[in-house]
Amino acid sequence: MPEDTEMIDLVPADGYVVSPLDFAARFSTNLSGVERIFLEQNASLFGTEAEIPPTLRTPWIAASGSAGENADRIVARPSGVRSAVWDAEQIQFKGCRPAPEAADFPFEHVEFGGDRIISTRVPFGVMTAEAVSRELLGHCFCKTYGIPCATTPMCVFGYSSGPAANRFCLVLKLAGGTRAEKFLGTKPLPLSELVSPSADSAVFTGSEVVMEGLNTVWHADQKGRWLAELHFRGAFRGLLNNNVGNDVVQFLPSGKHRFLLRDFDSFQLISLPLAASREFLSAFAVQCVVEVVKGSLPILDYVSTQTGEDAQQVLPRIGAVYRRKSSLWNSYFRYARLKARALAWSEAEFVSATERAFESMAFLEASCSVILSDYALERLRRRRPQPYVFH
Amino acid sequence: MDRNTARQDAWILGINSAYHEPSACLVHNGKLVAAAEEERFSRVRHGKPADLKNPHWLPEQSIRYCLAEAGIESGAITEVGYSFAPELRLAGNVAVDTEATPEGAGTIEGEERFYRLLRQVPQRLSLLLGQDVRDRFRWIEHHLCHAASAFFVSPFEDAAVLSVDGIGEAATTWLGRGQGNRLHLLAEFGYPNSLGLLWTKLSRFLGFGNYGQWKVMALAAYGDPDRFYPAFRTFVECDDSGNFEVDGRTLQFRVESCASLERLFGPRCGREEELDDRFRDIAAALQRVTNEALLAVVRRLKAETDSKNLCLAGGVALNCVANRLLLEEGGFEDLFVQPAANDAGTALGACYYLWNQVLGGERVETMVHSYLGPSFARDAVCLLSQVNPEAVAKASNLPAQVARLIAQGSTVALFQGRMEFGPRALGNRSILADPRRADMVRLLNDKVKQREWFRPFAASVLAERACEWFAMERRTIADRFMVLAYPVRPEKLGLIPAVTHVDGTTRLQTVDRENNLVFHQVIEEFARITGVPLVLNTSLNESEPIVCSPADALRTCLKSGVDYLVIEGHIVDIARCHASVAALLDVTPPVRDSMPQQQSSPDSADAEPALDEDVAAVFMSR
Repeated sequence: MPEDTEMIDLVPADGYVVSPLDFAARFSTNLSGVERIFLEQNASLFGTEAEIPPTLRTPWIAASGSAGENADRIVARPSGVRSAVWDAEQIQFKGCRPAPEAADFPFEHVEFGGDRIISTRVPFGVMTAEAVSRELLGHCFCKTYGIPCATTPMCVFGYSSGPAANRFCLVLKLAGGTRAEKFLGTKPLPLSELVSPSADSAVFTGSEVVMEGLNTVWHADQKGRWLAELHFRGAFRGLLNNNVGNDVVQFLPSGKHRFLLRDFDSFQLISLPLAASREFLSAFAVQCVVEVVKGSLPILDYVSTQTGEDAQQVLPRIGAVYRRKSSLWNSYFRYARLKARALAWSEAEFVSATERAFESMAFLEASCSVILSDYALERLRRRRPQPYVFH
Repeated sequence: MDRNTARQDAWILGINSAYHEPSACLVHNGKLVAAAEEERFSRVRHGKPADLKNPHWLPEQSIRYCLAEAGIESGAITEVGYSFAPELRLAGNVAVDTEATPEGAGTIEGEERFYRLLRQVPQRLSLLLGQDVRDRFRWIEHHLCHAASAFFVSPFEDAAVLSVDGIGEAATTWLGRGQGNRLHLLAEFGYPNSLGLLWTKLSRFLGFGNYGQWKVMALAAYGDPDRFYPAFRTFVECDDSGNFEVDGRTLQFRVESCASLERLFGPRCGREEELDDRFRDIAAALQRVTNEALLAVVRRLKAETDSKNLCLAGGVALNCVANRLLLEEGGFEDLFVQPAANDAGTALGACYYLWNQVLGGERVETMVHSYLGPSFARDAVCLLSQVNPEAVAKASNLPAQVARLIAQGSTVALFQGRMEFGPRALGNRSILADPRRADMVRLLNDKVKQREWFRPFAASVLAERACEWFAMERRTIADRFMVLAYPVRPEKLGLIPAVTHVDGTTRLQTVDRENNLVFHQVIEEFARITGVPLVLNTSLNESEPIVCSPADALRTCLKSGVDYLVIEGHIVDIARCHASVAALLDVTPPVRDSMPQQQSSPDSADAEPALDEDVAAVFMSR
């Protein structure tokens, strides 16, 4: 979303405000057993009600129009399609912009042990209790293990009337920094734009998209490192949360950069076995591969296939191109093998499991968002555009 | 010998062979005629291992090449400089260490044997040249040669000079000043206070062997220097006065054991072991400690000389990360780093020490390029005639065609003119590729160069446009030699991922039209096509020394994944070469006419020194 987008007004709303600590205790019922236990054991990392600033002790919600000069309001910048950012205070209201009742948004995931990406729809504009719980779980997890986050939960608004009734808004303090998507030179997202009639054929450079002003070697190294750190502790950000828009780069006064993660509303935690069976590794590797692929920069290459070839015939070619050309995959895979070894898993069996993952339909479907092929074209014709929106 | 005659027509031969990187150099009346490293001819990396058993293995082929290039007979040589002083080594190394390998370095037996073998050098050289040159032969201190190699061919009339390497005879670091045609010593640091040996030992510790310093430097950018910095500080000390000390008991350089280092850093890296965060952090801390030590020494040099200029030599001067720091924060306005800053360059230094300091010759040479090795135009034509015709095309507009191939994603080996002197390929024995393609790093590292994933590639940029792309506060003549790493300008980051290291810097060569016209034109054409005035440049080799001859070049291209070989005006499509070409190269590697026979075999290393009388007899019988 361009930065000169019109500002919006946030106005006081009916409802209540709870601290992250209280929310975790009261609303995390939708989480799995292992997730709930983790949250309960580590929720003390969150602030209490007493730490909520006075301004945020009232819920705020996006006004349907201008609230007027004299109204009690916060002027905020829209971010994505459901959030607003109060720039002066570096606070994000995530889920403060209720959409019409029927508005929803695609949600993609792979069931653990599954072989396909499952696409469902979730309500949009505001957040569900589960989405907030997962955000809190993700933040809690990262804080516990020293994984750098771009946001810190401050409180949760619970709306009690209107189209947002029984929904929530998570209020986050921003650490500052720039979303990596801002550096995308050609801005080729969604991928379908590449094949529009207006597309310039010169865009097919055969390599990854350029990120102007960002060291992509560093970006891939950092993202690969932290994704491996998450995965090999049993955590997954979720397919849609893993995109480049949720990678934040801080430019430090020393001239160095810092990589931060954000957005955890589809965060999932599983427990890892001490000894990983072949079946477990297969399922685990599919999750890892698909998440990394969905987080990769698009590769401006075209994998042609022949008429009559089925998915299983196409898969090896797409997999080979992706693995050869994706900086993120190559960075991630190095860290992942180290992590597998550190867990005393068989590195060879993990590598073998990733080979199998690249033969899965889940990979093929995920690859459609990063690399063009006849298979991807066919899907793009059938599907609604990718849900990626600039922030 | 008549000194006046020598001054009027002085042919000076410089030789290095004491440790490794054996090399030869020839200077005529102060003009640099030829220089080459033996490894390029023998195809043995670093020429030979640094070993007490082999200091007398002379760079025979390099010497013969130098004479052939000049078109002179050995009788014309008026002076020979050898970049080592055996007596100083013998006096300064025995019983210094608390631990040593039996009969190894630092023991009486080992040092005496090294001394005896070194003393054979004048005789062996005389035998090689067919000319008794013992009366013209001079032993010159190792670090003096390094210092001379940097100062006397620099553009400066006055400069502070710093030579830093593993070890010379006993000194490891030499601080001095160059003025006109004289060098003056200010201070020396002795073994075990050695940054070079510190890097060698840590290279071994990290699993890279004795020659993995490049790898350590590359890996350092991936690490966190804070973690092991305090551990390094327990045995590497430096202070504001410009001294540094390395505790030899911790370094344990002369034994295989790393027990002391393992107590500080944990177990050393095993063979085939992945380099995890611990090893990256060790490398990063090593780079930081090195930066600090060098900076302290350089600031001391600035304070003591008040010169505007700094000259660097010695293997440590190839640390491109430290070099930029010294340029930016050392207090000097200008910097010169001799491109063969490693021991190979001491052959050049020996020549200039003799010419300038001993003979009092005028300064007549500024080293503006490193193209001092052999060229092979005739051999190239012969070789091409043996390649199946459909694989070879005569280029009508070579720069444009090469640039187009690179822009299309091909890897192109550029072989032209005289071979570079020093460890960097600077456009005459180079593989070129598109710097815009992120996947080029993996392609080259995995398929072509067979090297580690974390090693970055350098760039060659049009000199006149370098500042547009890189944060170069000052330009130096050393920029031509790929010895400094500069940050990519923030607005250009991401546009050239294949030559950008993880820390956002690029090791850089600036290319001038006057020094390498064809290479400059290729990059110009590439800039015209892509808007990017630089190309990825890596040395044309694969797990072996940089290629020397056309046959080496074609063999390397056939073995690796290089797409095209550009050789003396022709473009060879490697994929279209018939198998017969590969077979031909495997069985009959062509050798240039002027190249001599192979170097002495290792088996002959332990042979007793030939007697002086034997040598004399040889000459009398001629």
